[in-house]
Parts: sequence; C-alpha cells; structure tokens
Amino acid sequence: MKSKVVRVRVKYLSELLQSVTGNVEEDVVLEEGSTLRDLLRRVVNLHGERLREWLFNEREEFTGNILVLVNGEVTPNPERRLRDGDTIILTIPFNGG
Amino acid sequence: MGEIRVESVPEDLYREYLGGRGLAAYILFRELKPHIDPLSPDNKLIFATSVITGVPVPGVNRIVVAAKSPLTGTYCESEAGGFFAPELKYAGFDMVIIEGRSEKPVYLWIRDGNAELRDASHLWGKLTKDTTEEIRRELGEPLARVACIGPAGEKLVRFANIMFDHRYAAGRGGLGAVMGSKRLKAVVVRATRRGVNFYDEKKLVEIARWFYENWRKQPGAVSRSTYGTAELVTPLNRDGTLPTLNFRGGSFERAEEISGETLNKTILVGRSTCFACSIKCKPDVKAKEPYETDPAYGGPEYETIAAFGSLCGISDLNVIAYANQICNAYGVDTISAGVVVAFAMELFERGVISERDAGGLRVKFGDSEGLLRLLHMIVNREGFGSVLAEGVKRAAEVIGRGAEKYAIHVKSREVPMHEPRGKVGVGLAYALSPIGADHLQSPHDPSFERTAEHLVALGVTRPVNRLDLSYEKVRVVYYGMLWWSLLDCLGVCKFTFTPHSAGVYTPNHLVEIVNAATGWQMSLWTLLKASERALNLTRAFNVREGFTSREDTLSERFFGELEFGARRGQRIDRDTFIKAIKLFYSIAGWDEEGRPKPSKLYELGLDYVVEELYSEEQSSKS
Repeated sequence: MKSKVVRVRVKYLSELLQSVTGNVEEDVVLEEGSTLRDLLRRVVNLHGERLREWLFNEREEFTGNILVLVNGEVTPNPERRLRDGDTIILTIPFNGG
Repeated sequence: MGEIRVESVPEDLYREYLGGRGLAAYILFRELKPHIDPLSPDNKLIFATSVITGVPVPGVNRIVVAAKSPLTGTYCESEAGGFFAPELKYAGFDMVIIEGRSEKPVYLWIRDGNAELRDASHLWGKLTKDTTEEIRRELGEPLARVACIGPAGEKLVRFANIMFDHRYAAGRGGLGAVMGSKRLKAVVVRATRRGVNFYDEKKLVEIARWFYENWRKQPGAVSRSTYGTAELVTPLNRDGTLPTLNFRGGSFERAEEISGETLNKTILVGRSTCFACSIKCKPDVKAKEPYETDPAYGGPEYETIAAFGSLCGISDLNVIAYANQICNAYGVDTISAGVVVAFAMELFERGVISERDAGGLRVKFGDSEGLLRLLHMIVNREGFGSVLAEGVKRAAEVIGRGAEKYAIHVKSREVPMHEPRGKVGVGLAYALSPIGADHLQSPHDPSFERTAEHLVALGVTRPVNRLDLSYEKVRVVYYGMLWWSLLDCLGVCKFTFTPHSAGVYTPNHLVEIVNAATGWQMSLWTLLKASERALNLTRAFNVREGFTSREDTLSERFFGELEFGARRGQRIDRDTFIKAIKLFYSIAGWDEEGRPKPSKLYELGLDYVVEELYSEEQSSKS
C-alpha cells in the first residue's frame, strides 16, 4: 500500500539562492506528517551543504539569515507540519543600502 | 595662501565622542554660529576619522565628512568608503577642519605629518578623475588618496558631492558645494608609513582572520559580494518597495533589465573593494556604445540604479551607468540627481511645465536621451538645469503652479530609493533623520522581521512586522538609530554588521574592535551612549537652527495610496505616523516639539547644549 504524501512548492526568491539551487521554484514531495525541517533537510540534500549553515545554527534553530515563509507567513518554527499545497519561500532578508 | 594649524584633542573627548559623527557634531555645534549661510566662509567643513580608523580589519574604512548643509540648512554629514580614512590616520591626522574661504582655488596636501596648501587654479573646472590624476602626477605621488570636487561643486550645485579617488562618494547633502564655496578643489593624503599603533594588534589580526574565515557562512554577505548592492532591485521590486516613476508606484515592469543579475551578465567587468575588506561589493562597469563608460569611475550602486532607472522609467543599464559616470565626474549626488530628474519628468507629463519653461527641452519618463541632457544641464547649471540644481524643494518654489506636490523630499533633501509605504520604519527614520531623508539612519524594517540572535544584542527579542507602526516599531527604530549612529561615529560600514542582511559581525564584535584598538574598557552600553550623545547633538544643532516637529514629516505623496505595483493602494496613515513620531520623541527624552529635554542632555553630559538651547528661554522668563 502506498503511503500518503504531501506535495509542496518551494520558491527561491533571491538571485543567490536561485544560482545555488539552479531553480526559481520546484515541487517537493514528502511523506505525510513531514515538518518544515524535513523539507529543508531535503533541500540541503538536493542542493548542497552550504545551504545548511545558512539555514541552521549549531543548535539546529533557524539562523534568520535565510528567511523562511510558509504560505506568506514568516515562520520561526522548523517543526511546523506541512500540508499538501503549501508554498514555502526561501529568501535572504534583504534590507536597505 | 592660508594658515594651517595643528591641534591636539584631549583623550576624554575621544571617549565621549569617538570620532566621526560624534566629534563633527561636537565641533559644528560649538563652533558654528546659528543661522550662518552654509556657502559662506562662516561654515566649516570637517573630514573626520575615529578612534578605530586604520585598524586592519574589514569594515572600518569610512571617512565622515560634515558641515552645515546648503541643501537642508541642517547639520549634515556623509560618509565615503575606500582608502582615504586609513591613509589620513596613517599620515598622522584624525581630522581635517577647513575654515574660511580662499581667494584663489587651492588644494590641501598632507604627507606623513606635514600639510601645505597649494595652488589649484589650473585644476579649477576639471572633472574628478582628471583632477585626481593631475594632482598625483604633479606631486609625483601615484599612491596619494585624493578627495576632490568636480565642476558641480565649484558651481555650488546644492547636492554636489565630494569624490574620493573618483569612485567613492561622500554623496549627500551638498558637501561638495561647501568645499566649492571655500575654493578648495581637493584634499590629498599620502602616508609612506603607518604612523599609528593600536593597543592590541594581535587581537585585531584575530578579528580580521575570523571575518575572512566566516563571511561565506552568511548568505547575505555572499549575495552582496556576488551582486553588490544591485542585489536589491529584484526583491524590492517584488515587494512593491522599488520607487518607480517619481514614487507613484512601487514596482517597475522592466525591473529585470536593471537587476543585479543583469548587471553581472552585461556591463560588469570587475569588483573593487574598500580598505581591508574581502567582500568586494563595488562594481566596475563598462557600458556599451553610445554610452561607453570608464570603469575607473566605478559602477552604479542600487540607489543609483533605482534613481535613474525605475524612478525615471529607464530600463537600460548602459544609460544608468553613463548617468552614474556624469555624476561621479562632475561631482553630484546620484540620489538627489535622479529625484530631481524624475520630478521634472512628472512636471512635464502633467503639463505643470512646458518646453517654453525649460528652454525647448521636454523630458518624459523613459526618455534616456532627455535624462542625460537634463543631467548635463544640472551639473553645469545651464538654463532650466540651474533651477533643478537647487534641489526639488527650491525648484518647486521657483516653478510654482502646485509643483511642490511632486517634490519628494524631507527637510529639502531628496528621498532615497526605499518606498516607505512598504516599510514604515524607514518612513520614521526619513522624518527623524538629523540630515533630512536618508536610508542609512536606522536598519530597515525587514531586519526586524527576523528572529535571529544578533538582534538580541540590541535588545530586540520579538519580530516586528514591516507595516507595524505601533510602539514596537518605534522602539526598534530608536534602537536601530542608536546603533547606526554609532557606526557613523566610528566610520564603520553598515553592511558588514548585523542586523544588515549582508552583515557578518555582530554588535559585540564592534566592542572588541574598539577595545583592541584603544586599550579602553568600553561596553556596548558605553558605545551606544556615545552614539546617543552624537544623535542629540545633531538634533540640538537643528533645533538651534529653528527646526521643529513640523519638519519631522514626509512628502504628502506617502500619505496617499501607491498607484501601482505589488503594494498598490497602500499608504501611511497620517495620524498613526504623527503618534509614532511623538512617541519616538518621548522615548528619546525629547519634548513635544522634538527638542532634547534638559534632563536628557544632562544625562548625556551635554550641559553646554542646555546652556545654549535654553538660556534665552530662561532669561526671558526671569
């Protein structure tokens, strides 16, 4: 029997992240019940270790150096459960100057 | 040919003011008489380093230039990166203060502890690169660092700048016109040896090494290194905060053509850097015929790309690079130049002015040739260009017919390329900045949407939404202003420190750098107090000039709706904004009119400011 899955869309909104991942956006399929951390682990596996230290600190919390949004909302919690159809945005929190 | 005096500054003064903004504000407040004409011999022009300038670590490289501004009438300072500040320090001087006015054009030549004034008659009228090269040639000093003005500074364009090695600009507020009014063409510095020792050189090398080993862990720093400040075009456009068509909208349909990625693929030929910095964010560009540019003038930064690009409806990076070169060669601020051109374009489009008013010229949004023609007229003060060379506020007064509605400024200073309707804390900082509209007074709202650890060092533990204008926002803008004002006291690049997105260091690193350089036992608290002292001095300067809470506001356009773009319909609510301003005053220890209260001034050790600001009031009461 096939286990249930969720399909989410990941968008890379900065030129740097697009160049590192080679994508502007992509769909990722995960097991049902997967968390944001599971998704980002997958993204790191797909696109390289450099992303890991950009995303997580030594305590495995978000560094804040890459901004993570789920359905448009800034998300501080990597344990957030993802649902089918969610859109996850990764971007650098650009500010001025 | 003029007198040169060398003075010593007591160490206590450095502890209290640190240098840069702190010392410049101290000198200008104490030594300038109120209400002087900024273009008269009474003004003083200061080039200031700080107690840490010259330390061999990335980010500490900026020269702070200050005077009373001919554009705003306020206190003014502008910082330039590059190599001039460490060179001045190594040559044995912390500051240069220019007083009076010369009969004939001169330049100041400083070498290893000696200084002399030399004739500059043969340089008057020359472009900045020609001036720089000719001075190096005649002195036989190819490595000399040259700060000079171009023809625009000589002609007193109110937003003329000072160019350092013809590519780093102390751009804003018209300091080039102050220099021109003194008939000072250049300040030239050369140190053949490092004439300064720091307290703990080993520690400084350690900090530099840490930076070199760790900056690639910060995606924001890597992005800045890869795309420069042009990285901002795409995200700001998407966010609806890319000023477009004279601030009518916040997204530009052809933004992709002027993005960082496009710049890299088309006109970029290399990257330059500032003293000791490994980020190398400065673009060298070579634009294509017929707009061919000289890479030695440096390429357009984000502000310039947006000011001549989206703001004027131009999507050709070659034209933007060429406009940038005109500004750097003639010596004017690219932000103010872009805003005055966009202002004129809107006036033409709305029929407020016609060809008859502008000597046969008619320039609409998107007209590249018209933009370049108008720019040439401004930097040379020709015809209608001379009206625009006064800045948007004065130009609107001359033009009349309701033109002021389209003049986008705060305290007469043209608004930079960050749409405040999409990041309202930037709007507060524009209104409260001691130098008029400026984007480098407090970190922008997105910085405070992060939950990163480095905000905790500044006392911010909860994220604050970019559209929030409640006490939460006022508080973080205030903390942010103290932090960035500190970086201006120390001559430090705001991009190398968090919470800027390109930041590598945290605020605590700055404490380490200061203590390693000086041997003092400073804390972040003491440093931020020094910054608060500087901020209050600049505020007091403006109060003494007659500025009140009335001027702490934004152009009307920002209280109306954005006409198009990703944030179409968004506006700043005026009442909420005014409440936020009043709350800021109260948090800062200022009264309802925005005057620093005596209690706050005493707390900061600024008793002489109390005497100056309140003595008249006291005597009239008695």
